[in-house]
Amino acid sequence: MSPRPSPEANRPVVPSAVLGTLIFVVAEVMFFVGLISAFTISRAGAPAGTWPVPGQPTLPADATALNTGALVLSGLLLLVGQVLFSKRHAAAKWLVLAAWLLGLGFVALQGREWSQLLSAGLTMTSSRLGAFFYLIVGMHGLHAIGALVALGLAALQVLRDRLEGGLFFGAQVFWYFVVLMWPIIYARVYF
Amino acid sequence: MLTTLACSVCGAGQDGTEWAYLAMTGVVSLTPLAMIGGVAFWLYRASKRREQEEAERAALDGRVAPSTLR
Repeated sequence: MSPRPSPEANRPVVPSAVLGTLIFVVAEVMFFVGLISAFTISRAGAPAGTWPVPGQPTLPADATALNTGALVLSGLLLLVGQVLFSKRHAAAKWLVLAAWLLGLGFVALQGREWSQLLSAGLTMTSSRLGAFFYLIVGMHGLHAIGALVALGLAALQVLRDRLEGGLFFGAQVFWYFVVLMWPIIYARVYF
Repeated sequence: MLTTLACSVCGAGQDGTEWAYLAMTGVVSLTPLAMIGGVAFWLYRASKRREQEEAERAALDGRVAPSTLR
């Protein structure tokens, strides 16, 4: 009789939730690369002195640095939380919760920024900068909200010590995508 | 003087946009290759790590590692 492999051998090398999210993230990265590419070419072709259009508000790069810091810190906290979670450390749940709250803060601050820009006259139709800004930053915001929902569900499971399946790991992969994509968008669109 | 172009890419190759077209062509071409390569390499490493763990566990248990079974 040949030796039987252990049940461990049937465990997937990478959880299906992580692999599925990775494939989705690869597609989404290309979506943002396409948008940023169009933005870069459009901006390079703008006649001198028309970007931004005179009379239109400039993007608040300084204020957005705070949002950027909050989002990056959120990603770092989640990374540390994952390490502690794998070691069954009790502090992991609080780090995951803090990461989620910082992400929520990022989305809220972005919402406030949009409101101020809209009231200052920068709209989707006021200029090419406005159109690209709301499209690129808006799509990132939608991804951030989606990732926050997934991360929130995972955080609830972690807090209740009832983590099932690959939800936490899949949500992490999606959140890291949101976190890593933002500095590229920030550097390209706001300056 | 402002010029009006018939389409969004009719200005391709003009001074100022040429570098942008070249740079973005490079980015759009290389990004998917880099990502797919990165994911494939990560999966390969994860698979190798699993095989090693399985072999170590099998050695401790005194059985044959499943990865060596045919």
